[in-house]
Amino acid sequence: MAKKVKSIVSIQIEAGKATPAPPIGPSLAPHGINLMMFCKEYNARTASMAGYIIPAKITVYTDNSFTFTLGTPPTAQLIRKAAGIEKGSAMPNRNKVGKITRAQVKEIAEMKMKDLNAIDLEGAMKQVIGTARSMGVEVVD
Amino acid sequence: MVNRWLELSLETDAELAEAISEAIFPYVEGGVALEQTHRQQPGGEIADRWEDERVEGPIIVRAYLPDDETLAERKRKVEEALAYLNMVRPTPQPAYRIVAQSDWADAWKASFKPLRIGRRILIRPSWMEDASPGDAADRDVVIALDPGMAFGTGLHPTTQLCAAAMEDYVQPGMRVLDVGSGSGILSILAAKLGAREVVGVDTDDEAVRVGRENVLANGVADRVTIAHGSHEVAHGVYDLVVANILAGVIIRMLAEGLASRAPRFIFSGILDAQATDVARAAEAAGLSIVEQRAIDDWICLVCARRGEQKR
Repeated sequence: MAKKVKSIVSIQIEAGKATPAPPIGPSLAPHGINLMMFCKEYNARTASMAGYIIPAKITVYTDNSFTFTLGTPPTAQLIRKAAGIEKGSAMPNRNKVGKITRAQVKEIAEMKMKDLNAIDLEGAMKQVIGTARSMGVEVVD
Repeated sequence: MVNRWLELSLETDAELAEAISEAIFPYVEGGVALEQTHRQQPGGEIADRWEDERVEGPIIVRAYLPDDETLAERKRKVEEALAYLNMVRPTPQPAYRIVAQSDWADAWKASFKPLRIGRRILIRPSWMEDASPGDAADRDVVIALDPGMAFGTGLHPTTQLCAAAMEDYVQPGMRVLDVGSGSGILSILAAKLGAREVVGVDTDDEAVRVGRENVLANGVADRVTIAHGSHEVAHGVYDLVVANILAGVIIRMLAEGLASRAPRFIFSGILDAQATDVARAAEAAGLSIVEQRAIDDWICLVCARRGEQKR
């Protein structure tokens, strides 16, 4: 019988740097997850991706068992890379700090498709555009 | 170390969750957690597993600020970032609450049961009153353990591989060095398998504290010392070095001269895909691979200095 999913927790942390401190401890421990086991697994499997934020998606089942998969870097990090900027705008409504093309949006959406919880590519692109706008990055044709 | 934190949480949708994470990331500690919990049906039943584990419903963004002198400034910056975001898209206000390490540190203990690993090793959670588990046989090596926030519960394949290899390679009277001793589980095991002297080292303060407590609780403090630092802090030569850490750390320590510390080594914490690199580093350091063991995709390598008699 398929197990029933209780929660999905996605942790965004830097590759290789998981510790039982926040955000991991308080967000995973209530689900009965052995924190040190999670940290060891995460750090071993992300060791080669140092410097990137590598999300871990932890699926917790109703029997308190869990599985986890590693995701792609956050949309925002990919947008920054595509726009060639170091950080998003502190005032995204006023100060635009960069531009990305629709083709780049599509590329990011395709890469992020499985993580974005979107129904189709168009939905994923819409989310990427929304994230870009919130960072003060314009989308141009 | 800070053990009180201000938790901020915001309920939002998938699109805004990413933007919120990005906006507050520079000011929060460690990172951000996004939690999507399935809404229970009116009857209290949880619906069957979703297709592709896709969960509908709101996402809760959680992040943490240490309760120290930086708190006020960080909180101000987070609120400022959210206020700017709010001008682009309506953004909910965060809810705040104080959390303490003690709130979550022990939560997983409820599911930790006595555990048998290797051929005759029994790990007993030290908070369980029963001093002699019903199924403990006379020849069992029983280790009472409270791993706290240190690694080494005996549950993980890397620890199990190491422990099983130690049953085969630790001889009475040996001097053993345990690099990355964590909860102290492998140091204690070495002593209980007859080692005359064991030194455990760990770079993590919390692990050193927890390791020492476990050594005392197991009555092996006369033979086991836990010290703070890496392999350099343990002086002298040993008969066996055990290192259950990670591939990258093991490769670095081999380059730093770890191979000169003992005639024999047990390396663990290595993923299948990394085993070739570790083996190459060991060979470059003058070791040969005696044995390779595996559980799932985790590998344990037993190495000996070249020219040493094989067991």
